[in-house]
Amino acid sequence: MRSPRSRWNRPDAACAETGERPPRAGVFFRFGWGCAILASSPAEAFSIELRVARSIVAGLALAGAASPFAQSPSAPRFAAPNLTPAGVRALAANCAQCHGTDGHPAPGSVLPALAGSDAHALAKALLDFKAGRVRATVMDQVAKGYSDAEIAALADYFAARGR
Amino acid sequence: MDARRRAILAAGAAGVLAAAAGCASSVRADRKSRVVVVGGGYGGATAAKYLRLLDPSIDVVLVEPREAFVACPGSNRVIGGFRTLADITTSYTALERSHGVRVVRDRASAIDAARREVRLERGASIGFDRAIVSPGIEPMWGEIPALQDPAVRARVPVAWEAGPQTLELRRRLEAMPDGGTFVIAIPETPFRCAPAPYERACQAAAYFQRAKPRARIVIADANGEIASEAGLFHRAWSELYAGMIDYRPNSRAVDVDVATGTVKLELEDVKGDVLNVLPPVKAAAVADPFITANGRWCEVDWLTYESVAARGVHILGDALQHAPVMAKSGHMANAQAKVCAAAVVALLRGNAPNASPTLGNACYTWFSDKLAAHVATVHKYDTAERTMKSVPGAGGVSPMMNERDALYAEEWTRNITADSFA
Repeated sequence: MRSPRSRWNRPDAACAETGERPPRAGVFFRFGWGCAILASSPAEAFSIELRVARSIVAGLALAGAASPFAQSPSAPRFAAPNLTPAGVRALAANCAQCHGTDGHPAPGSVLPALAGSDAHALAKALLDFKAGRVRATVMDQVAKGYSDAEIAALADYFAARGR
Repeated sequence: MDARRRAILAAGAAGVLAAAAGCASSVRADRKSRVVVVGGGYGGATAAKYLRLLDPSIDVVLVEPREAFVACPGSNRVIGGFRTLADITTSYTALERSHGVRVVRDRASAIDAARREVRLERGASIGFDRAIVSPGIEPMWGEIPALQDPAVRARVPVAWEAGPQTLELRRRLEAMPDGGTFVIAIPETPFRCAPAPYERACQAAAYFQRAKPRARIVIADANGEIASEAGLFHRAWSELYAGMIDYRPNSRAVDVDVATGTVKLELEDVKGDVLNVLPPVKAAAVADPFITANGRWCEVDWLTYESVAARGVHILGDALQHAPVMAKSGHMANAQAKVCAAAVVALLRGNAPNASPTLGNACYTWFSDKLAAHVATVHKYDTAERTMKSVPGAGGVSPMMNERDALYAEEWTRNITADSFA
């Protein structure tokens, strides 16, 4: 390959940065051959081959960035949920970027205020999102990141905030 | 800013510095803990605010040279002409007035972990019990040699930190003739905000479509494929901007010749009327003593964000050596800052930090002036590997760019800005 990688961005470093394992190279080589056959001239074929060869390297770096939902090689072993008051407060802070600090949206926002919600209704809404019973753009995806116990605790937390 | 306001700010800064004069000893003498936060982006501002929310007895000093924060999210829309710089600018006054954060308008020149003090460019220093450093990123100019010359940089604006360069790039696109070529060169991942350069192409295309329909955009990408939301970008380019965008993967820029308007790639040269060459980036220089990964990024303990290289110094945001599939985004920096702030409060009290942190992330991308999409993830702490991992089955990408996501993108901007700065 014509382009030597500089030290800080060699393939193994890129791998380490994304934390992904490299894909099996055979897949890329077959893909590369397919492209070469489609090329209209030897020069173009060479150029494409070179680019495809480089994509093996780039693919390592991209494995994580391009497909954030690829499963890890081993199932994660997550820490047990922390449902103490401080733990739930920390969990609830992840709602604030869209729903406002402690569930109070910024002035003018049309997103639902979570503070002062009915706990049962909020928990049901989140569980419906999580189960896919209610369609959404993003909340159906986000709710799947929380256990039922975490959802119940979050609902209680926001219900206890003043409106 | 009027003269009176300036005077108040100056007096405030002087007060902080006077209080800090006897720094290291006085902090401990009056038993009031002091946390110095370096950097007023999403990470630093959120950390400062949440420290005060969690424990109002902590003296929180935010060191930030800029008068106001200019957001990267939305800055491509300024380049497209659909937003103004004022729309993406937020003052630090709410942090001061509503939360009692003391903002020092100066640049941190050094963070001395051994002496527990932050030294400022104007000569003063501030002692701390703990420091939270949210330094952001800086370009590695040496990777695009011509850009080492500031005179060249003035003509080839990188605009990877929002502000005057954003306007300069916009001005150059406005001055470009119809039929001209805009060249965007993208470095290998990881860099701040993976979808941003592709979004920038969309915003420029949306502008060209109205103002100069014969214009072309060449994207020279060092990566083998679009680094985020690839399917959506390919679709936008073929459906919304057919024939305008020439995407060239595996095309790494190695230099630029401003005299001839040429971006030199490894295998070919590309000429353009407006050039936007993004060098690879690293953690900003103030964090250099804490860089431990590939000479570029800082590694931390994911429970506390304490640097693996220095006790008492916590690091946030884009400067981090990220965990698997963790975005370098403002949303992620905000989320990390809250975990970090809670851990710092616990540590100052001699308590154990939360052993089960959760981080959410949502990145919104604009494909035109009306259509957007999102990528969302949820991350939890893996006890075996002591890193954050995305929760399997959670999160996702919009199936299609759409107006609903555009509404939510606006709401996300409004609320994360308030959550971080107000």
